Amino acid sequence: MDRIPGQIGYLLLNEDGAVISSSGDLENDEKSADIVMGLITLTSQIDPDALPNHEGFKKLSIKYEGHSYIICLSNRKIHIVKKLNSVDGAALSV
Amino acid sequence: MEELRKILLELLSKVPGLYCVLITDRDGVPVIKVLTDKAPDLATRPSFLSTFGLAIDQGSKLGLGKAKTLICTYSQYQIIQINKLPLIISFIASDTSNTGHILGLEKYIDPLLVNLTVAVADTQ
Amino acid sequence: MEKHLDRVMDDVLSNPGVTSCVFVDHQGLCLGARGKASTECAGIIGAIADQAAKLEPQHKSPIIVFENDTRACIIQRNGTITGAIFKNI
Repeated sequence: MDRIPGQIGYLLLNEDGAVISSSGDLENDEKSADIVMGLITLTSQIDPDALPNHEGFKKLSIKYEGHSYIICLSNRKIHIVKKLNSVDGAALSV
Repeated sequence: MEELRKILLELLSKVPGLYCVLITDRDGVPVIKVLTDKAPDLATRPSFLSTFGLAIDQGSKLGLGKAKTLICTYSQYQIIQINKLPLIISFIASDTSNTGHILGLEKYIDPLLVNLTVAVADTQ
Repeated sequence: MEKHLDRVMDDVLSNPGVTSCVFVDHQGLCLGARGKASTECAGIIGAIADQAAKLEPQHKSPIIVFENDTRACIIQRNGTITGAIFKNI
């Protein structure tokens, strides 16, 4: 985790949303963990019409002007990384 | 029934500001209700809930067919009622709560209603 | 009245890869939808934007992007209106 360029904090949650480990800006940030868990439960209800075959999402990014949160589910754990946007602004173009 | 209650409670926790879900018959008599402590007492009474029946009858006079849903917003609350006659689903929520999200719950409740509808229809 | 929104939605849809778009008001009610998205998902989209905005309330509302290998869903709130775009990538 520490090797991700621009990383300024991370959270590792289990399936129930309990914090397993954390560092940097997100150290013991249970409030953010709660919000992200809420977001993930909402996501499971997103429109099946627009997304055929019930395929889920793999990655969720929440992009602010200077930094972003990247959220991934892997191995029954939820990884949340807070990182600075790359200088060229490529991360912001959608 | 217990299972139904569990599912409804889950829905209640999904939407912020949703205080209460009631499934009643057309007279407003609750078949099942789940509520948080913030639910206003008056609004969960049959006398209030049964006005929905009158309202949709009036609404049908507009010539657009039978009304499906009724959304009433008040200064502190909003009431969303869905026509599933012989049953009525009522949601009581804060006025700031997400109306669209509550309407979206309909599709989760629909499959639960099948058995209830049969039960209510039998007794009438 | 909604001509302007209709035009914006057609504009959005004309971008390459965009399959559908939905616009939602502050109550989570659908203002308009184009493409394959149903109007029913409006509430969820509003709720997602609300929830994500809680993360850093002091900042401007963020852009929320859901991705898998082939598709992306982009959501952003602007004032009272929330827009969502579904696209193939």
